[in-house]
Amino acid sequence: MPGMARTSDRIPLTPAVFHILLALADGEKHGYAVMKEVEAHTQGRIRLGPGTLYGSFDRLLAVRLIEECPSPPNDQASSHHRRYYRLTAPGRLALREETQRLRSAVAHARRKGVFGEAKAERA
Amino acid sequence: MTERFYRAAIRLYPPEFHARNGQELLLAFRDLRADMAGHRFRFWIRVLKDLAISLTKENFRMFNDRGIRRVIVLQSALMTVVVTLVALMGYVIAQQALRQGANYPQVQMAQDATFRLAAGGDFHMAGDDLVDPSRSLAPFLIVFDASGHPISSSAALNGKTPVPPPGVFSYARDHREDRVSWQPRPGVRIAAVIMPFGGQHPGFVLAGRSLSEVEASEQKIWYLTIVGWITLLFALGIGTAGVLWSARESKQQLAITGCSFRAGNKP
Repeated sequence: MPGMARTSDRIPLTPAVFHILLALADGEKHGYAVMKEVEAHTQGRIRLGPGTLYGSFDRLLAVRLIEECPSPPNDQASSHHRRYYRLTAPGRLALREETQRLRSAVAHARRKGVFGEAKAERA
Repeated sequence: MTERFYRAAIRLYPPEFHARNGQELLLAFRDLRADMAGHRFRFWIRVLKDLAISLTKENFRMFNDRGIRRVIVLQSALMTVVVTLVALMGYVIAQQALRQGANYPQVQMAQDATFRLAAGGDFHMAGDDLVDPSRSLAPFLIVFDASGHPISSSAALNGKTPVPPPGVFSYARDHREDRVSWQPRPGVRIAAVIMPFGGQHPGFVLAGRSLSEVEASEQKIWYLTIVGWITLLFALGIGTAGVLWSARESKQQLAITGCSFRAGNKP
């Protein structure tokens, strides 16, 4: 089954997928809430449109990194019933592994003086 | 008007995608329009850009998914036909090689006998050691007169000289030779070479040999062919399933890691 692939096989994630998973890290959200959060987190550098977002959702659902979940009670009462998504355990693991990969890349870049700190220390 | 345009545009997604996500796309579109109410131009740029990218991607993905699967399945069907034809050809070639080999040494025996008989040689053969083709693989000779009646024979089946169908003689007369496999009785098949001879008492010589060993070999080859064919089809089936599986897996893998399209924010 596609969902049975090791999580490490899915690293690195695309920036959009990483930010979608990150947006779902603190609980279930509907599509537009994810769009807004990704845009806010990336200071507008990643602006997902509805088509791109739901295409990504489909593929993340297929590999079981996310799953649909019941909408919260306040939304169930709404006339615009929305679909909610949340991270699965493999999705959370993939997000953690990707974050660690990025963190070690940042640490490596820092050691190489990419951010200017190393140069400043020598000066 | 704007929503009507968007409703029409999202119908261009693949049907499965539209059926699954159409309502959600519309809700997200309305939310986005409300949030960007003061930025109409930027709103439309964003929506149109998203439509252009995601419509292309989803339709290409659908086409590609179906296309790859179709190619793999067609290729497997073609391979099944090829494997079946190769197995059949292999069997037929092996069978013909065995059958052709079954006519030796009868060809040489018949030629030697016709030369001898045409030159006035003896028609009669020793009657004590008659070959029984139902039990023996030894070759034998039978001499017939011009009308196809046996004159002399080194073989007997149920105490009688086996006689081939009359058409064999007329064919041998017209073509100087006939090679047949003939069944004088159920369970006994003979590979026979029939040649006419001239001289003072013209007639025909039949040199024959039981085909039982050849038929046993044919049976073995048939079993081997069937086993080989089934094994190849099984391997082909497993291979096809594996290729379909890995195509699906790698496609989904690419969709998440984006190894094939890493640029920008496209998942």
